[in-house]
Amino acid sequence: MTTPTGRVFVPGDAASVSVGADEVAAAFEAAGQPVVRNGSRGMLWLEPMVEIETAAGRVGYPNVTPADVPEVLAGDAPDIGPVDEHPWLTSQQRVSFARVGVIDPASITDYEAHGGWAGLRRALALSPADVVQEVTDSGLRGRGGAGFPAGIKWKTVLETPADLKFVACNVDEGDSGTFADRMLLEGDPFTLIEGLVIAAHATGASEGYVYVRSEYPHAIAALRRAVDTAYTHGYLGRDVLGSGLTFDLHVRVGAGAYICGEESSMLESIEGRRGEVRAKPPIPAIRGLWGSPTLIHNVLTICAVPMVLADGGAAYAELGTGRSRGTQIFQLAGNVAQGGIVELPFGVSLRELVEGYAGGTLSGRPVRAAQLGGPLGAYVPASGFDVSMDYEALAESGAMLGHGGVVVFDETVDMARMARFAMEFCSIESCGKCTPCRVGSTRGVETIDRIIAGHDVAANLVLLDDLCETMTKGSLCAMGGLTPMPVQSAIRHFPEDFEPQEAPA
Amino acid sequence: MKIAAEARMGNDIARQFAHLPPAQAAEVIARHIETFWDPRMRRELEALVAEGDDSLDPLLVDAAGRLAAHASRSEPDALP
Amino acid sequence: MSLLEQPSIWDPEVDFGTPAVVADASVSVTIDGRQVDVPVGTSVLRAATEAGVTIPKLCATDSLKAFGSCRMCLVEVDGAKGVPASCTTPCADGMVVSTQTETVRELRRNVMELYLSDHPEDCDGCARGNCEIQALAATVGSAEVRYGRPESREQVAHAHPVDESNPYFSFDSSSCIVCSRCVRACSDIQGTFALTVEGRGFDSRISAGGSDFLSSECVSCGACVQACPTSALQERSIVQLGMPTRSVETTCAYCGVGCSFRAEVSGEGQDAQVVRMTPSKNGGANEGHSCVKGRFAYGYASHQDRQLSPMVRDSIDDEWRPVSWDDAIATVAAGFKAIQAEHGVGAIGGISSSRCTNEEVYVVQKMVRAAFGNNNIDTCARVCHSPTGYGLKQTFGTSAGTQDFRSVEQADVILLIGANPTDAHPVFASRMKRRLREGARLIVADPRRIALVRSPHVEASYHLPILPGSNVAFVNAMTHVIVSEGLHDEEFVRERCEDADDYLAFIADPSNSPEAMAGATGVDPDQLREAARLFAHAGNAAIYYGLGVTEHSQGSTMVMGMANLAMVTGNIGRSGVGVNPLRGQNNVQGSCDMGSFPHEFPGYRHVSEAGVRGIYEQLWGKTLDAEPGLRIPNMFDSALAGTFRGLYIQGEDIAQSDPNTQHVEAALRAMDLVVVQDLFLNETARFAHVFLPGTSFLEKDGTFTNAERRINRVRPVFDSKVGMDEWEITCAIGRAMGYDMSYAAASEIMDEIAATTPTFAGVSFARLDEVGSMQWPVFDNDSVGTPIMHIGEFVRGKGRLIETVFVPTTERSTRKFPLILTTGRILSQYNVGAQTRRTANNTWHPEDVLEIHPADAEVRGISTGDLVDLSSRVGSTTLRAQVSERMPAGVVYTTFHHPVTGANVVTTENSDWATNCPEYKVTAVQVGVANARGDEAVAEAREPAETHA
Repeated sequence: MTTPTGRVFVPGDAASVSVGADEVAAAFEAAGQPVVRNGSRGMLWLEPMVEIETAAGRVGYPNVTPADVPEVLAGDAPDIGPVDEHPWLTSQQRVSFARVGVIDPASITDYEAHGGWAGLRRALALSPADVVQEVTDSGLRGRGGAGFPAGIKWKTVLETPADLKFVACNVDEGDSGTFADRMLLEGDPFTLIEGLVIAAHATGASEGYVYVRSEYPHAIAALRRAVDTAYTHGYLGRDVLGSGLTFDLHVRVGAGAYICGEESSMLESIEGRRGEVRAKPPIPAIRGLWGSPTLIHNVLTICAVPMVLADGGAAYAELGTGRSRGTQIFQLAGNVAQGGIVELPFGVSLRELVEGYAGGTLSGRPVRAAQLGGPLGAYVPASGFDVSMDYEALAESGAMLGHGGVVVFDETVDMARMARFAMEFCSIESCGKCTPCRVGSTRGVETIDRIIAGHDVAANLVLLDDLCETMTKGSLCAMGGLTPMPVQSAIRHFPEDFEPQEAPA
Repeated sequence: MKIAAEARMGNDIARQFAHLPPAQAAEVIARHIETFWDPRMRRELEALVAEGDDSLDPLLVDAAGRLAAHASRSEPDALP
Repeated sequence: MSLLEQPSIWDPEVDFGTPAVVADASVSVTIDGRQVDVPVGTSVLRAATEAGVTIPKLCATDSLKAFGSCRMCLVEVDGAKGVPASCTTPCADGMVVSTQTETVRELRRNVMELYLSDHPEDCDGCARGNCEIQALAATVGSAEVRYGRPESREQVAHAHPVDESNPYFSFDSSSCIVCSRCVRACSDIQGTFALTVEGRGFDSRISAGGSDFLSSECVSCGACVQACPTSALQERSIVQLGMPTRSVETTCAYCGVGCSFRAEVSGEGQDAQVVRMTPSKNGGANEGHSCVKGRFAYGYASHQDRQLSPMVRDSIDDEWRPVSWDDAIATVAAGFKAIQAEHGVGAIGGISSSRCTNEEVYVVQKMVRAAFGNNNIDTCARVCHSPTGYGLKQTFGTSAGTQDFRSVEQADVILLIGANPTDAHPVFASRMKRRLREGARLIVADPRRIALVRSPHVEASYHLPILPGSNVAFVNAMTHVIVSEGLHDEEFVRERCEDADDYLAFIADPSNSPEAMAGATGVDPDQLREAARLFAHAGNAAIYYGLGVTEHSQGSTMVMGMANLAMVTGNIGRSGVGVNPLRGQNNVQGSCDMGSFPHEFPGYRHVSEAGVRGIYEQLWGKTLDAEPGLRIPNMFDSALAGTFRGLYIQGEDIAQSDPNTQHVEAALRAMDLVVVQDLFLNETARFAHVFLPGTSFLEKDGTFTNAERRINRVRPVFDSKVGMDEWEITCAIGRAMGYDMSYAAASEIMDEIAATTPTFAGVSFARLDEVGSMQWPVFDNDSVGTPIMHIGEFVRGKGRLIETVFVPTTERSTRKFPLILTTGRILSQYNVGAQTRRTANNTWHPEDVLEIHPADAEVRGISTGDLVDLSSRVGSTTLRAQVSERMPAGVVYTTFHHPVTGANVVTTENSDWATNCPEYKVTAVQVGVANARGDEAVAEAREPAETHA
């Protein structure tokens, strides 16, 4: 048995842990080999993937079990070669995820060694307005789903006079098939902190909140550890890096409501109220937390900011297509052979993601559909997979990018049941505030049940269409407004699944 | 010994002005009593002073001597 | 515009959907072809209502911020995409709105269809008319419910038993549409946060914190019931009595907030019954809000205990004999005249009531001054806010608070001292809490950790637990910090105040520092300094106080000390600042204004002023006494001395409410004729020879003046149940004694007040009926009053800075009496409880308890629920203990709502040096487990108060 020349990495990422990474790490420790608990590289089908630093780079050992540990240490286990040269990674363009899986997320020095704080240092040397200009120039748009131009939001907060302003980051990542926020927090939490400090400087905020869903205990622990470390090192608190900026950052844990992924519900929850959508106007950038101007972004938006500042807005804007600038973090899930994280500039085709990166279905059966952008996103039939993955092209085709989730289904999927699931999801997760969403979703489930059962199908399809119109136009927020999207896309693309199967008994 | 109500109330007033020069204090106390006390109470106070009641604050004793003369409308023979 | 069409009797006030907006600029919008100008920020819904365009709505009401949940008020806006909710969409200049396009009509029909799919066909509210669903469904044209509709309340998706735990209202979730109006009313208006929505999605349901209403944090203010658009939350009286048929605008007769109500009535004449009390949106004091007393606790007015016939007896040991009014009045007059003949003009007197109208009080003082021929007139304000009158007159020049209630909405820092508004002035407390939630900072100076120190979404920046009796030390220390650190408003002090140099030198003296005063106040000097700096740095700092300030041996000094603090920081003469007494009783301000003090005529003018006396002598045709008369405690002393022998008492229960009960009872026994005029045979009536039945506020025609000097109309809902109005009774006594005083109506009394009192010159019933209410001074008929006083100049010219030397009370804890007792009120009961104890409010507070700190309890072996003996140097009583962390060690607390408690058996003769207001707040006591008597024997002696819904 030989001792490895360099450090041994065993991901502490929750997805890796769920397939035994903790036990693997324990086995290394038991063998006298300290390990670094890095994030995941995002090749989830290979987890737990152990990496060992060698002269040739970090060599990856896939799907390691505790029993494999002696072999791995001896260099006898099957490996995939240097991870950085793996084609699944080399073909990507990792910007926000550049450090995820690479660095020790607990080490602020590791973070700095990999380019961390460069964006903040440059930002602090600029005026707030100049920082906002960089963000505007980058073309960065909100990654939470709505795709609103970040620069406009920053400018609004900066220019709204107030004694107290906030920045808030939403990590209530509740969409089925999405996990990028979690992986970023677990694998590179300082990036988020750096992005928030830059945002605070740019908008005049003195306090920040990161709202993390309670289902993410590993991410919460990683973030809290990083926040403490950042305070210790002067990146948070009074007089950040001697710049005069005071910025305090609080971590708040959600209470299990999907709707708190919606920004105004998150604000209600942070303020100590029931997570319930606020009517707009006023927009949070003008009246947000406790009535003060509040800059709210998703994790992925904030985590793009350090790079935008470090390399300049123009560099970021060079990536992407049309009005969708920069990179998007796609999350491949569902019935896929190779699930995980793919970061690429906007414009890649869905087909390349599903058939290329995901390697088709895990079941080996033909792909029938993919749902994009979470449970409220449209189903795209395999015939439509040539669509370009950017905001405008997807909108044109009746779909949406959302948070970048891609959930794949094979030919065995019953699309009527998927439509029912959309309504059921809404009926369970609706905040209960507005009537179309609160009552409509339950009536939607019942109506689809009648359709599936073959009762009065034609009339019930009309009723369902009426209901979808009512929800789309009449709902208070995107939850009720988008729930019809998967329902109507399923009916539109897969009408055969809604036809009476046989005469009712 | 039970202290007369007028002595207790008068002493309460006197204690509020103990920080002033004695003559000024006595004057202020007298004006307050004139403004707010029923004549029979003022008479009772004067009687206590005349009796040499030792529960009285010296400032109150001084003030009692400064009270203005007053009508005796509470006398039985003073019906209008 | 026909916007004032009354939609129905049960909500005659037009609901504009969203609150009015105050803005400098206005915008012009066109709604369904009608153009309307509204202030910037006004919602489309409100603008439409103002333009006479009705947009269907369910979750919107103009007492609550727009919520946007029901999706009934959707409209289309030219040039904008989608169908925005008109409640949450602000008007923009030039906006063109269509409220009846086919798109929105269809959406409304479809949304209503969703509502109906879970609303029972047998909803009793829909049938009765207090549930909006059925009517609105017809309006928007929902005929068919394609999803199916529950036929009965048992068939709704989430059938729950009706919550009938609250004695006044019930909650039936089957009619509930989860619009959250109740939840928002509870949080945004009341500020209690007792209600929430539990569950998500279709399972969302209104919940009183997971329990029933009575077990929850609910304070039964009724805002939720008022806000409910369906019959889910409804008064039980509506079910019992049916819908009201008429309404009368009047004023609450409980605390000094003076809420305006619409008494909703069914039946006429003797059959008239109040169905419910609904707070008026246009009530200046309450703006549509209420508390559990004002809204629900009116049942005492028709309680069986009410005495409706005059009664007499020769001796207080005899049985009462009902007699005619003529006989009773003749008995009173003959008795008083006989006393005067034998013992002098000054041997009789009267006490007016702060519960009565200005007009009733005015005639009592007139009767005493003109018919009795002396100035032995006092009022129960003697025992509560007389120091306020004295202190503010000395410093500012007028005996009243400086602000209106609305002023609190501009305050940045609030110093709350000796007041517990969430219990004693709940409707104002809700306003204050709203401001605190908006970010104003709060300093609480109180021995107890009152609710405002920390409650949902409100937390005091500082709680300074000052020891009872140390108020002046505290306020001097506050001002000392501000002056010695140069944080005072030099310009204000120099330009608007007098005696500044002497005062600044006095207060800056190190003897007034927080460190020097710490021994007296018990407050950490550093905390006090920080609080003082917070106060000094505020843009607007306001002081609010209650009886915890006045009922002390230095009550008047403390009022002046607070006036000093306000002047030194320049916090006088604009909105958001001031010195604000929270008055105890509904008309305590008014009874003082009306000349109820023995040294003052109406309008606070001394009896020795010949010019003022001349006004009344000319009008009344009598020579008036130029010397001050007896105050209430002086009356007792003189009674025991034999020089005071006859007393007319209007609506005050001195035997229960005045201190040192044994002393009071001895004085009452010593008198030859005691006349009690009251609703009930109260404790004082035990010592009375004549009982004259009084009228409740529901029978009165007159005015009350609240703590913000607001004169509100009181209007009769039904005729006097005793055959006479109270002012008529008083006048009849005066006439029987040989002095002709009579009026054709109560309005004539106010006309006389206006004619003789400059600060009331512009007040008349007619004008009040026209403008709603007015805050005195009202100098002429062009004025609608003075919400904020002392703008630019004080009433007395310059504000007077008076040296407020701290003189400790003589009442101190000793080895024998090591604890200090202080007293106060609780939300559901009111003062001596004569009214509230005769309502279902007893549900919440069936008996008074003694709150005691755990450490004090432990050394005495006392647990919560134990009966304990409470004794002072003057007496002892027995009550139940409640061990409470709200108390500081060394201080115990009780309320005095129940006569059986006899809290005043232990309070002493000590009083404020200037006004003789009793020192209720400081009594040295001892507490011990009531061992001498068995628990059962004591319990038997303490019969529970009778309850009556």
